Amino acid sequence: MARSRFANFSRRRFLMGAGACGMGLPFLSSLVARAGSDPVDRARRLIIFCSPNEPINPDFWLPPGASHGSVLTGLAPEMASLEPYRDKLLMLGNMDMASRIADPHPGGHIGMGHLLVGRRVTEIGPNEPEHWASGMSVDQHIAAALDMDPLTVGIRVSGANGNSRISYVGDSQPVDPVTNPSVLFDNLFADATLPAEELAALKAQRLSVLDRVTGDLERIKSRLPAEGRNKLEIHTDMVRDLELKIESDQVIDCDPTAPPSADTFDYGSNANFPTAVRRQIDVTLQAMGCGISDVATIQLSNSGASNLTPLWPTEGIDLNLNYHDIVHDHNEDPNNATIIDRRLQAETFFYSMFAYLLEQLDTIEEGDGTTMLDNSLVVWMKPIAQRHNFNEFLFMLAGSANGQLSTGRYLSFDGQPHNNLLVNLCNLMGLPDTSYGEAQFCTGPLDLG
Amino acid sequence: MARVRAKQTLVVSLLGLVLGGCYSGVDGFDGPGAGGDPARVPPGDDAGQDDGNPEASCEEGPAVGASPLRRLTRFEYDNAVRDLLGDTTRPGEQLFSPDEHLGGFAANAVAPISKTQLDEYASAAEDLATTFVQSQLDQWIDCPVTDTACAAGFVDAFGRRAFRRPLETDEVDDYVALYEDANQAWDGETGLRLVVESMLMSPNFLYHLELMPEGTAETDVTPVSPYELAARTSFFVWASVPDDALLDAAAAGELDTPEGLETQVRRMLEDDRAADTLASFTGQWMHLEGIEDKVKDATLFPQWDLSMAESMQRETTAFVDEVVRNGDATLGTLLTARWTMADAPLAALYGVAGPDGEFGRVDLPPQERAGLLTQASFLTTNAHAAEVSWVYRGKFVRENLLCQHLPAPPIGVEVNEANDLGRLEDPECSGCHLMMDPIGWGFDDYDPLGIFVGEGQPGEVAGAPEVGEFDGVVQLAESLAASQTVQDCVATQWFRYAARREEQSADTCALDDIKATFAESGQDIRELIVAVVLSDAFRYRTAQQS
Repeated sequence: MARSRFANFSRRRFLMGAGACGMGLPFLSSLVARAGSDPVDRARRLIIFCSPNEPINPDFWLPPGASHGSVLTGLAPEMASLEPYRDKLLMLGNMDMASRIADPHPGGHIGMGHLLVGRRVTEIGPNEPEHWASGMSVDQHIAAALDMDPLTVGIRVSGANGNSRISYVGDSQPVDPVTNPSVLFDNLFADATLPAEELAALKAQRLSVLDRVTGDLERIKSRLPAEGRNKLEIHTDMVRDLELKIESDQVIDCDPTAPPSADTFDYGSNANFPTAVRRQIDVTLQAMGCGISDVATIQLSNSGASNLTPLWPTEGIDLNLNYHDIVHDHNEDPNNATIIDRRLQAETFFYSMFAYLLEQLDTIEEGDGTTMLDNSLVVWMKPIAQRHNFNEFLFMLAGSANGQLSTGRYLSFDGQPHNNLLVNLCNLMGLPDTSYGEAQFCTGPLDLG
Repeated sequence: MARVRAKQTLVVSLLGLVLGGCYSGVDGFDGPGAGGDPARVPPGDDAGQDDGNPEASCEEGPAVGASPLRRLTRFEYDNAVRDLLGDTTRPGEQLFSPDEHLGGFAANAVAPISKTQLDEYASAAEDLATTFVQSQLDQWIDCPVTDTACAAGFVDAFGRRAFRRPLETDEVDDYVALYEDANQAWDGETGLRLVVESMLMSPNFLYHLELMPEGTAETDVTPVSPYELAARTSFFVWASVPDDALLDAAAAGELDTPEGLETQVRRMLEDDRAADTLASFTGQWMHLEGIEDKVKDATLFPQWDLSMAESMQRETTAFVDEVVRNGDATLGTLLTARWTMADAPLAALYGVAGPDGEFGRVDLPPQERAGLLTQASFLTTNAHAAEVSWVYRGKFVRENLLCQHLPAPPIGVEVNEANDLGRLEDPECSGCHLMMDPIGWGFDDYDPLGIFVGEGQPGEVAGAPEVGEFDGVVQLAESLAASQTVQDCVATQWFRYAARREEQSADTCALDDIKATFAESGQDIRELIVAVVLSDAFRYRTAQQS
């Protein structure tokens, strides 16, 4: 039996699983997921998958014969990897990102700050190009309501600015994603093999450190102006949360397998991106399967993804041009066959990463004939719509959210604000919210019936 | 490569029409910075806010803008644990989430700490403390770890360095109590480990703390206390914690006078640790970070690889270091030197003989190269995979050498990563692009890797009469070096680096003094650094936003 301790306090090594250098961790198929606290009235898990930049124009991705309510009888060629899951998909077309359209802040990529928040952004300073989102993101909100910590993970996310963050606990309070699968694993499972006595000592020591730190925080707060005091109060609350977690002594009942150590594998490099994505998905799903959290966001790169150059021949793509340029080249020259082909190769690749997520979810059985995919609410999204516009967005849901969704269809929402979808996510996860983000940009949940 | 010579007349006449506003062609654009019309900024001024306060108030006593509470940057954290614990693993750079920027430099000033960052600090603190007590404790104590008095001495000595000030009695008592409980429950070594771990997690370590003096209000302008001044100075000049000598000087009241403060700054500039701040400033100001991720067309530039990127970064860092710490330290030399610091591959790129040894000074063709703007790192970073970038090269001169702020493109305009003359004719784009592209195409002599290909054409720095038209970057560099606007801007950039924010109207008097000193010194960067430290903006603080 392994003990879970959410805080990352060590980088101890674990037994490497069989096939650790390969493309899949075989344990996943044998891991029967825990039902946790048996959430009957909600999707068991929420997994948000953020794919970078914008999609190609709808001609290329609209399913054949698509109209509102139509059954998905097939998928566009670039989505071929999703074919095994077609009847578990719900494609949602034609929403607008109304909050961004109304946002005076310029910049083609600030959709990132709007995606899970639905509010106009906060600027960092008068001449500063940067911004942060101005409220709590829906993943954090749902997790808080369920009294759990969400898993906020990413791969090759660089920079600390509004184009690099989708998850927030408040105005200008971004949550940094953990971007290294090995670190994520240690964060979640590091103490699992420690003898009970040693673990008890370590916990006691950590608590005494945090207690001392709290003392220092309390001591100086009153000596700072309001702006600084505010920050230290947030810091103090976080330290207290960490103490509570250590004290809670949560037990999990699973046998996790570590990804290859970061000492042997560079998870941050461009070359290793596809493998890093897969390992990150593996660790995240292990954690969810072990019942550590029911909410996760997985973020691939930043909004623009100019740090991704798809030199990945084993993935079927080998282009020495960064993804941001691949997209822009096509927008500039939309009828050039070579340029179109490059872009479609890239799109195909990113859909294949989503397909990997669905594949792993569908491999894990929940013990009642359903799979983790069936019982989850998986959400695919991009931060911008075609040609850096904010109309006619594509979102996709996968999984039936524990039987609440009727999948295998295309739905079209005729310009409804995407805040409405955020309300659906709340409701599908058992929350009663009727609005999300700024009220002026929300008209209530979408009709997904 | 497009030839624009024939269009020069057109460009000049267009300039006459659009200098009234960067966005004169776009109705209703009201984004940030739109009020900061770069074409109207007079020479010598910069992009700080203007709220109309008359400058006569410079005689009324020290004034300074408010600085938000900041956490240590990754670089500062790594240097601090190097100097405190002898650790060289660079955990910040390897493991911490990226720094948030303000004023153009890493600052961690706006967003509060995130849970991820707290975990990162906790993990690093535990590992660092464990290694430290196993290998470095004997550098600090020569008494038994089981002895409380010994532990108290350690708390005092180590705490003073870690927190950049002496601990107060009750603080020492708290840390000794932590030690005693641990010593009893486990052992003395664990006790000291937990002390170190707690200190590395303490806000006194992680933040650049500046407390309001007792009995003062947020709106008051008060002197920075001696220890806080010591910390400001060492993080500015060394990007690290003060040494004992600086803390001793603070204790002795030597930092209370400009003379005493100046003595310390000059001492610190002579120390090798000053190299770190030069490297940090240069890397951020010249946007060198991430050069290793630049993609270049493999057919056109087969020589482009990680090693080349590292050579280029090393060149610029070493060049600035050589000029400022071993040379005449002037801005003029930085911008116009006909030599650089290179390894053999880079020398080959420049078409000159390699250095003596693996790396060192090489002379450059005087008609082809002059200072930073013709270095491969700058030219490579500010270019695309297969094409140079007029916008990037022009934008750098505008924003980082003239301090003229250019707003972002209007909403809905898609930024295309290629040169396009059409932008200069489209009224929606021309206002801003006329500020950038005619500078940028003046760099066309240098290809996307910085190789001299001689395909250049004359360029123009619109709205900057001291610089104006130029034919070749060597000429541009000479003009920029001689330009008052540029000299003032470089002073401003160092101000921003010191303060980790952009200047506010309340900083104007201090910044003007700094600019004047910089000018009087013949644009000596070392004198600039001293001037920044001695300025009112450095020696005083307030919470009053301006």
